[in-house]
Amino acid sequence: MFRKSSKGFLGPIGDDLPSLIPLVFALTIFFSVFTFTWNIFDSRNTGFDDNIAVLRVASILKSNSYIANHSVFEGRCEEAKSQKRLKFRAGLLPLAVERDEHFGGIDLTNLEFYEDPNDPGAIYECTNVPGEEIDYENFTVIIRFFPVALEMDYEDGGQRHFFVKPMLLVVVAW
Amino acid sequence: MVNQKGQAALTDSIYFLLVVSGLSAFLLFFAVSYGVPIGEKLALQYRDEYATSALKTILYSSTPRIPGEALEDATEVDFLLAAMKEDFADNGEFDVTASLIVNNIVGLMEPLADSFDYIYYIYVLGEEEYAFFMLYTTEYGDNIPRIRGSQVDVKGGDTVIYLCKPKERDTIDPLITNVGRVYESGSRMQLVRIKSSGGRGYNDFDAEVKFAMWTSTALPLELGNIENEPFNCDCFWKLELKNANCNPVERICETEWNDC
Repeated sequence: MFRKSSKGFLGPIGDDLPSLIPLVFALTIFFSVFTFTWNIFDSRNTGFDDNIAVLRVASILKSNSYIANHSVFEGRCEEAKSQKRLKFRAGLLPLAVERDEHFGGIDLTNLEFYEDPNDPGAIYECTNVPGEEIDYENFTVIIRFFPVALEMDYEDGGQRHFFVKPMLLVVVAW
Repeated sequence: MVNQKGQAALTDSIYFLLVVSGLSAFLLFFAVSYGVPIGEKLALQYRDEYATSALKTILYSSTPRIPGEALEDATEVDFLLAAMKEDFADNGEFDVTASLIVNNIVGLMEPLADSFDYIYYIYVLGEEEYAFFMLYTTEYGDNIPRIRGSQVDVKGGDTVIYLCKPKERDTIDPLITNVGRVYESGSRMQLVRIKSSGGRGYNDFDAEVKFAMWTSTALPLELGNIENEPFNCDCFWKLELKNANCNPVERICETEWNDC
């Protein structure tokens, strides 16, 4: 025969069993939200760092927005290559400032940067992954572009040509 | 009391659930809003740098002395800024070089042209007048995005360029306050003008050159069409973008720049 005071008593664990349900539910909610928050925090921080890294590369390459010649660009490129966080390809594309001409756009699948017609081989391109294509299928690609002025100074047929040409500095990073 | 042990534990756990739910809601709010100001700051820095680079490039650029020639094959080349100063020195206006300035700015902004509108102006501080004022804007007209149920119809507007000289400096303020966030860059320049009284010598003028851009926005009707004279301009050119790269042979007022 049971004692009167032990009516409905299921044991020390069994008695607290209903209270475990909200407890477990609460812990599940907390850890889910915590994990979600952590992931957001992490991915956004990564995004910010990537964006800052791209802007830093662009900032090094454009400097004061004036590129005096190819060797100056190469010098800046060497400095920009110290940026190890991201893979990048950067370079100059010609802008159209004459009548009836238009900018050709930025074609990521076939990115061909400006080559000085008076100095064959002098391509205004800078990359920290030579020969590697832009992997826009597996990575988030960040593109930044800025107008810059490129100085052209050459002799052609005994005549000196000097002018400053507007160009577009394009930085593609992934 | 002995019989209420289980109920006390249940009440405690429900309180715990409430506290944890509150904490989770706070965490969720933090997660959603985390980094939004930093993202905006980065975007602002990028656009500001673009505007600064564009202004610098305009000021550094060369231009053929004969409009229409390519830089590489030009008979004579000069810095755009030098050509502008020379042009201004003659009669205090940028009439000959206006098309060169427009071509350069439109060319520099072409990569962003689909989504950004902008102004470029030169304001003579001593004279308190605009020496040059260019507004690149998108006229949506009846093409304002419409929502029909779950369907949103978005049609692009027509891009036009206005050149005029507002009579007072603050007449552009309503435009700036209506377009949202503005990314801008400015600089000082010095202009000279041949003395109108004749004789030798020049008068010096301090001027401010400014370039400002903003995300293309449907402006209020009274501002969206300069023909309504929101800037109180005596005379203006309205250029359709497809004709913007043509050169004027003379100054034309209240008609299109249509000598192509």
